[in-house]
Amino acid sequence: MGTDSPDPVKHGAVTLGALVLVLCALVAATFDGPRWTDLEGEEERQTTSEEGRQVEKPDEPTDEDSQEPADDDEPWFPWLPPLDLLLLVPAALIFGVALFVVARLRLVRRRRQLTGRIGPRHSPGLEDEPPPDEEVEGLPEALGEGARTIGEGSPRNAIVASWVRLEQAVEGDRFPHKPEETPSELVERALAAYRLDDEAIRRLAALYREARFSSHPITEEHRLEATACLRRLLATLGTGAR
Amino acid sequence: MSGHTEASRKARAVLDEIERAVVGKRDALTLVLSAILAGGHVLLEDFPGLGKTLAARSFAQTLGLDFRRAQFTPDLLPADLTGSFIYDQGRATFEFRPGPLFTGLLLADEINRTPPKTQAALLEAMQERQVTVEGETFTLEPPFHVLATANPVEYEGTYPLPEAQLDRFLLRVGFGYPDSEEEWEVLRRRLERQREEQTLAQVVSREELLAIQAVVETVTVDPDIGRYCVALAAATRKHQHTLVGSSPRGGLALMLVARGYAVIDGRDFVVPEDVKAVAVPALAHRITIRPELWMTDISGRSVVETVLSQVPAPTARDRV
Repeated sequence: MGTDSPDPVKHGAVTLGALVLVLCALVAATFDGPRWTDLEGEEERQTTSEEGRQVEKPDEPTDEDSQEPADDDEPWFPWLPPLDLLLLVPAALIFGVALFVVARLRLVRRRRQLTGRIGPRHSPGLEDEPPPDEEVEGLPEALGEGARTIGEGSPRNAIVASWVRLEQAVEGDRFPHKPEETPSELVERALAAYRLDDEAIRRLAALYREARFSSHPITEEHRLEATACLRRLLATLGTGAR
Repeated sequence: MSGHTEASRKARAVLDEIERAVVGKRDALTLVLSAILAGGHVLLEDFPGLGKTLAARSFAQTLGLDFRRAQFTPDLLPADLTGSFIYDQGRATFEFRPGPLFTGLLLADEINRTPPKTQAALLEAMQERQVTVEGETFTLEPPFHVLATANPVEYEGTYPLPEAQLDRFLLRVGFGYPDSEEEWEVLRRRLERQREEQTLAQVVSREELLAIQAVVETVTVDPDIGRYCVALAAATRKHQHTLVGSSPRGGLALMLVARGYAVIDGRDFVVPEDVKAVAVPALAHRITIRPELWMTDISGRSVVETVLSQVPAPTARDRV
């Protein structure tokens, strides 16, 4: 059964949206509030005078006074929408862009979840580039050590041990250990990351699989073949032999 | 070892012969043959016209098996498959007339077009390898294999197989569309043949097939490989997208088919690569996705692929 996991991106989107809406409301309130209040007061005064309720009669405005506010309210560019509406346009744009960014982030996260690639991202071309010299330096030593010690112990254990030594030698910052990887997958990755002899490493991997997972006898012939593979890898390391 | 070598040689010869008829589907054909060598049944699920029926007929011809085809229609009854007792007036007795189930390889065409009652009759025969009619039980002689086909897009008037019945199939395999070169090759071969029907040579006899299946039973499965199969099946149950994951039968199927796959590859032992190669067709159809994800592109396949990229494979380090 699966378990629900909290989705911080979803909460973030809701919070961001709410924040933008509040900002829009504040902007609208700042520009519309005073004018609406003024208009409402004037309308109210007119209504009370018409109904004949004598609460407090306002001073009779002169003709000049009554003309002046009318002139002030007259917009300079009557064909343009009001200023507050114009300010709402950039706010809506910001809101739209924010929504797009959040949706895009969610999409990317979802794709990575589907493909199981959640975690630190590596540069795609990193493993394809030839390794720096200091990293290649450890590999000949490991291969040489493997070729020297493969004569010790039973052929089965010796072949498995030489493969483990090779695995450990190629691992590093540029070549992280992947527990879910099969020997074939490791070979493909190693070939992409290091200049190794294609045939030799594939044959060594096959010998390792046979030694590790079979129950039939592993003979001295297998050991000799593995030794030859290690020597070939050592001889061709860095020469670009494929 | 020589038994495995001979079995591998014959299995590859079967695939080579089938490839004369089915173009460019070596991987899918290898999976189907792995399941047959493991003694199982296969569901071929794909769009019409991709060679499912041709592949089934080709397997029957090359493996030297009796071949019957049952077209699963809405009015098909269980007795139409199992057979029934017919009254013989001359002898004044009831005689059993066997149905199409009594064969070596049965093509159950469009299995999802028949009602669940008939589906259940077939699936019971697949599981028990016997048929009971009127209280009398008849054993289905080995080898008995079912290749069923289903169309994944047309749902009108169909009865989709429930999960419990899908679980009876060792593999679910899709052939997929050929690329343009392969498609042209299909056309070219038809022109060259100058007739519609394709006849393939028999590569192995029924007895030889049984012998190869016996060899598959002797293939070594390291305990770590077995635990890897169990871990993969268990991981599908814990995956966040699954409502119901694979049953233990899924882990078993994974191991059995991997053995057949190893024999075809010429080995008498299973390696993690075999398990990974058969994992999607062996497990994906046993997984039920959570209902809220039905309208997304998440599927049993994506769950198995994720699990394969997360579950640690057997390594050498625990051996040294």
